Formats: sequence, C-alpha cells, structure tokens
Amino acid sequence: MKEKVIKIIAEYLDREESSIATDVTFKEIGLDSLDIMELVMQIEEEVDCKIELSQEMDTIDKLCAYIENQK
Amino acid sequence: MQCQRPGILRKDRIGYQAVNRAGKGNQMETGKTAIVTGATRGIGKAIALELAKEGMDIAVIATAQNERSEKALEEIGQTGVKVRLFTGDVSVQEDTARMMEQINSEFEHVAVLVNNAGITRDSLLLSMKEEDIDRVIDVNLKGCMYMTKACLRPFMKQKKGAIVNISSVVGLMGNAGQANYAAAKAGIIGFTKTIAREYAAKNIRCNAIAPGFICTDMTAQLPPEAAEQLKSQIPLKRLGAAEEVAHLAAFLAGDKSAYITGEVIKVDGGMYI
Repeated sequence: MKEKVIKIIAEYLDREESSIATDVTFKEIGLDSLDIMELVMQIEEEVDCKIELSQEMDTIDKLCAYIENQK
Repeated sequence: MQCQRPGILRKDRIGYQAVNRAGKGNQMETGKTAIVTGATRGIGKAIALELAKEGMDIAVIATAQNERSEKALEEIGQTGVKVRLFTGDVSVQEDTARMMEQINSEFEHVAVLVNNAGITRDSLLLSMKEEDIDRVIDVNLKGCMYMTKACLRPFMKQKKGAIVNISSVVGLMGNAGQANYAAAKAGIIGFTKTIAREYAAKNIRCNAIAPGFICTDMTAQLPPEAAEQLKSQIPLKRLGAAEEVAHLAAFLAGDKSAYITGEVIKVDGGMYI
C-alpha cells in the first residue's frame, strides 16, 4: 500500500518514486496543503478508504499507518 | 411569497426557454447540477428557478418534505430539468455530509452551491435568548460552512466550482433588533473571502450577495406602516423582488463571472451606499 501512495505522489510531482522520502513532511517533499487535499482524495479512491486529514498526519509514513488502521 | 407579482415568473420562464432553445445566452452547460439550500421559498426558490431555466439540474435542500417543498419541486421541475429534494439540517455536519453523498449518487456533476438557507430570531440584544443567538448563527453561518466543506471535495476533483453565499446588507450595515442575524451575515462575508482565497488555485470561486429588503414571506409580515417607512429609506423607493437577487446568483454561478471571486455584491435598491 505504501508503494501505491508513493507512486501517486511521485506521479503528481512528476518525480522518480525513489526520490520520495516517506519520513519527511509533505511540505519538505514540495506539497502545499491544497496539493495534499487533492492527493488524499486520489489516494482514498485508490485504496478505498476514507481519510480524515489532521495536522499531525504530515508524512507518508504517518498517512500509511493511518490507512492501515482504518482497514 | 405574498408580495410576488404572479405574472413575472411565467413571463421570464417562457423568455428564457426561448433563449435556451435558440442556444444563445445560456452560460451554463446542461448536465450540471446546482445545490440550493432553503430553496422551497423566497430568494432560494427564485434562485433555483433561475438556474433551472439556464438548464441546470437542481438539488433542493430543505429541512423537511411538506406541501411547500412539493410545490417548489413541481414549479422547478416544470422548467424541464431534473430536480430532487434532500432533507436535513444544514447546521448539523453529519446531515450535510449525508445529503452530499445522496446528491452525488443522484446527480453526476455538481458544479454550483448556493448557500441560501437562513432564519431570523429578532429582538434587541438585551432580551435575546441564548438559543436564538445559537440557532441563527448555527443555521445561517455554520450551515454555510458545513455545506461548503461538503462540496469542496467534488469541486476540487473537477478543478472547478462556484459557490454563491447569500449574505445580507444588514451584515454590512448592522440592523437594530438583528444582532444575531447581522453577525451571522457578516460572518458569511468573511467566510466567502476566505474560501475565495483558499481555493482559487483549484478554480473554485466563492462570492456573496447582500440583498436588501426583498419581497418574501419574511418581509411580507411587516405592518403596512413599517413597510412604507422601509421603502422611504431605499433610494429606488421599493422592495426588491426575489428574482432580482436570482439574476445575480445565476451570473455568479456561471462562466460569465469566471474572473470574479471573493466579491460581495449588494442587491438593495441603493439602500446602503
């Protein structure tokens, strides 16, 4: 599932998947709050899960942990 | 609407249908849906009718299904568009999320949200009950926020959306006896400008209309002397018609206003200049 999330974000940013770190903040990856909203909507569809974004959920690792918990 | 001149709607409707058939003047694309809260009477119904005449399907949001809602749906449906009623309380976030889900399953492409639902509980602040303050803020302001929040996801996916919030001139100028209502309507203006800034990058526009005294059920309850006194304060010397607000709402909902966002436009006969 994490691979799927990385792939979506890499495609969105038009970057190599290997360049996307999962333990740094979305902001550091180069995503603003609207980008994150848009990506979350896309991820929700891909992984069939409802995501309630929070301030603390600021890395790919944390997002994936949340999704795992929801399932 | 007791003050409404019965011939106007019919004449307008025929006129617009002729324009639509000719394929001119219609700024909306057919197959798109507008959500209008509080659309079973007054300004909300006039806006729903106006958007329907322009070819938009209409999702009517009201607190309950009753004779009035059935009449409104029938009237809107006569324009030939798809129209459905969704019931709930806009001041309850769960209700707005549920209604939005229902709307998304019934309609394909929600393009416009008109936040019109509003109530009044007037009195001087000294004698205003806490519940009257809460209820007016809840319905008029929080309802507008919850509905907007529910619509933002589909709008962001589409990378397009138009939100029209119905404020009031009393939100700009204040009005004795309406501290709760004026505060809520002023709040809508701040909210409108904020949403315009937050989502402009996603091509979502948000504008507000500030009607003055419009001929609706609310103003029809005024005693004749009060109505006359009111008119004397309005440079155009008359109350407005709900359709006159609806014309602007349709403009702000459509592509002809594509470069307008975060704006507050008064429809008040010059009452607050």
